[in-house]
Amino acid sequence: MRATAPFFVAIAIMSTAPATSALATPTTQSADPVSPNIARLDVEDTELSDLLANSAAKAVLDKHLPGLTSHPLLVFMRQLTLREIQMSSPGAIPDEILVAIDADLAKIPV
Amino acid sequence: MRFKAVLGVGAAVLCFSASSTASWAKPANLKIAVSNPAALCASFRNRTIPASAFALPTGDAVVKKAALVKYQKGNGTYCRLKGAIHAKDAEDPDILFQVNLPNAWNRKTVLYGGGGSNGFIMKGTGEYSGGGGNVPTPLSLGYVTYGSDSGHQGSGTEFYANPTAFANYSHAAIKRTKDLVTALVKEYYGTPARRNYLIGGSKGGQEALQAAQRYYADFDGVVSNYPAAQSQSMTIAWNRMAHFAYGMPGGALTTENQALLKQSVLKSCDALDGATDGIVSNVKACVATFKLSVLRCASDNPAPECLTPPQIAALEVAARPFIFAHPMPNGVKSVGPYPALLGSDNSVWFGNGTAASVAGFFAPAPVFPWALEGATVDKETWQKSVLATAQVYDVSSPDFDGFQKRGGKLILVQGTLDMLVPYTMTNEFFDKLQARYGRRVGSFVRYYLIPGFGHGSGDFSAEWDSLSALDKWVETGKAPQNPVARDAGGAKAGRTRPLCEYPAYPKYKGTGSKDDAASFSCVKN
Repeated sequence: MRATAPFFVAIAIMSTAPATSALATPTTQSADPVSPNIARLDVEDTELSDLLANSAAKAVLDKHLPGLTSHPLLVFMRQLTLREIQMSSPGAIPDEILVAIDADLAKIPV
Repeated sequence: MRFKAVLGVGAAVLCFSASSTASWAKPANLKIAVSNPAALCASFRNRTIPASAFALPTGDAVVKKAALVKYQKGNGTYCRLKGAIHAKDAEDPDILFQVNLPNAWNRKTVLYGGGGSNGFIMKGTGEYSGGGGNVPTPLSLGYVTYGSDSGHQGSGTEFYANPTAFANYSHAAIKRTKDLVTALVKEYYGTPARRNYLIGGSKGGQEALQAAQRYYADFDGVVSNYPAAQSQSMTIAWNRMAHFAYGMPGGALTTENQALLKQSVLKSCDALDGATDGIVSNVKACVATFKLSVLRCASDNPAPECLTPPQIAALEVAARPFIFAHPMPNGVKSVGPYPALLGSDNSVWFGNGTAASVAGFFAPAPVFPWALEGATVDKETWQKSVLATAQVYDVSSPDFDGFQKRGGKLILVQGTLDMLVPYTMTNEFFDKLQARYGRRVGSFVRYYLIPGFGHGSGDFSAEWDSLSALDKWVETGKAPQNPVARDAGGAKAGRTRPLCEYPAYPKYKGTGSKDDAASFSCVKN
């Protein structure tokens, strides 16, 4: 007999509940923000919805992760950061891709 | 001087110091504006909130990141704080949080409830549960918004074995995160919030109920959408249903069989509410009308145009209550029926008819015959295996005395086609509230049962501005009046229906557009 551990993982997706693991160890620290007072777009803290709302950032995504911005499950990822999306899909997004994306995002004025 | 009270964003009319308390009696429509948000926000980096700020035993909290963030949709910026609330015992996991502080604050806060097994930070910057894309985000309206990962990291369920993490997940993270925000808000704006709300769906809906029941002094109002309020009850039902789908030969319905069932249900039930609109609104009549037996195959061979005995058996299992071997907390003896015969999206349960296509709750799993009626499980085992979890997590008690007496308001929303959180469970919960409070329940609870709505989507993907309705109710005492929901999905996106208070449903008046809520009235069977 075993305990009935709830399998809530699917609800996390179905309820558009965002996900992240926490202040993950940054491996993408790169250029300083374009503006010293306003956070630049990045892979650690910027939500996908904000990246999609910025045409330059969307172009960066299309360049490095073709297909992501038209993915059928995009609606369920909108409140995730790219780091969280990487963590939610093990092996699908290599770390070097995130590094490259972050370097390009750092060039976008905010 | 850091702060200005303003009429709307940007129109400064009055200044006062951070330490001023005179601002407290100002009219509710005044906002507090931060005059130098970049510097103020940056000053919160590495700030520590001491353990003494928390009512529950907790360690210190630390703001690890503080950054001014530009709205990508709209003008202006907000201050984003990210960090960790440490557990009292260093070996227990932190609660990771994000707090968003607008430059022009309406002196109110909104906690975003979680989802699923949590484990990821709720950001609080986007749409809230049930609001949809046509409703302004709370942050853009001037609310301080916040969320957490509820005290464990990642999507697994290993944290169940850690009592601190499980208590946080079940309810305690609500209080700890709220206490954190109370401290941060007072330091940032120099004055406390006037109103505090929580909005969530599914697991977040359970958190809304926990907040109102356990931490009622902290919240003026909550919106609980399709609350996953009874963990063990639902899990037992899901496993039982999965067993009949894939643990028994031929139980699952193929995609064609599911479409057949849906069309058959609609043929029998769609017009029972006066409108042939693809929404089964008169659920009670549908339960009495639809006969699954009409779909039975002449032979036992599977076919797209009929259902075999194992398929019918699986559906019938879902469509009757699951009665437990022993009661759950608060005398709950059963869960269900599930709306499998009311036009629900049964692909949640069956996938496309192959076991490999099903993931999550309904993935093939060991059945728990010991959990159901007729089992020989003893009470001690039941206590250890089921009740120990349910007693911490579940919200099935109707005792909301503290919330009701302090003037709190609860908006409860549930869809009739939800195959994860069955409408029958939420109905029974509300029935208990009515039994406890009688007519007084209307003074602090509104329960809207939405036909055609599933677990956040469905034949009618309901969206409405529940935050504005809640805020108005709290601020003015005027309960929501004839609220209207908008369909956000499918070919009929944009059509509207009245939100009807349970047990009423929207019935077509016989004239007018079937896409317009004005053509429907709320009636009871």
